[in-house]
Amino acid sequence: MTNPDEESQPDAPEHGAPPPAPRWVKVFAIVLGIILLSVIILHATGHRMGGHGGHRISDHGQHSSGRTAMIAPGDNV
Amino acid sequence: MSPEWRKLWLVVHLALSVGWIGAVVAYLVLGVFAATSNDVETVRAAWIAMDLTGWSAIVPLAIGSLLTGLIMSLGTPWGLFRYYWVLVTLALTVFCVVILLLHMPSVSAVARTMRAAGSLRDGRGGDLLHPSLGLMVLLAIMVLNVYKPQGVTPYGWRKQRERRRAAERNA
Repeated sequence: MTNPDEESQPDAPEHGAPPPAPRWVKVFAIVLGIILLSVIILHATGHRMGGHGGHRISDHGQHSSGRTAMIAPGDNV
Repeated sequence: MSPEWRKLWLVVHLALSVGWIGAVVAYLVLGVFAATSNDVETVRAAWIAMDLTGWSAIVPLAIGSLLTGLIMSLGTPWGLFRYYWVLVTLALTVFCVVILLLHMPSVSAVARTMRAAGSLRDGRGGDLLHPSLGLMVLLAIMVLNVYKPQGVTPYGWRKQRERRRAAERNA
């Protein structure tokens, strides 16, 4: 979403070393690192999409014969 | 890039980017229904719709947004690596597209299972984690692109210095 018409960033100082990364970049990196770590932990502990283990419903909401079918309370069966 | 072309690419880029966010919201709504509904037909329909929405809307919009963003950056003075906000935007967008492309085959696999008779058991649980986090990252990208927080990268700093020196020599 770059918008060339609004380019108004000030130039960096001419002399010396390059300016350090701004604080918002560091905060952003820390927050993203925490989120990424949380996602990896969630995946590693089995919190994946679909079939979270507790609910098993057979087709058309019927208890299937010959296999385990667990229906949560209030299931529309 | 001429100002006319910049405007045109900006319109296309904004449309694709905002469309991407909207498509993820629609996907998330379907994911919530797949996770919370007790009606098996609703869960089945939600997964099939999530598969279609993902491949037909989210993936094309995401790739289009990434490509037009690259064109906008390279065709304007912003560049790709000169400002932190552009660099962070690029990194987050590439990250989102990669995760999306890695994740969608799993969605298709669940949707295929849901289509097949007698195999609804894997449908419960929905798909909330990926679209929720994806939406948060996309909103963060949008905020970055609107506010454009200050910060020049070392590469951008060198380029600015070269440009200033070239201007001084020509003066």
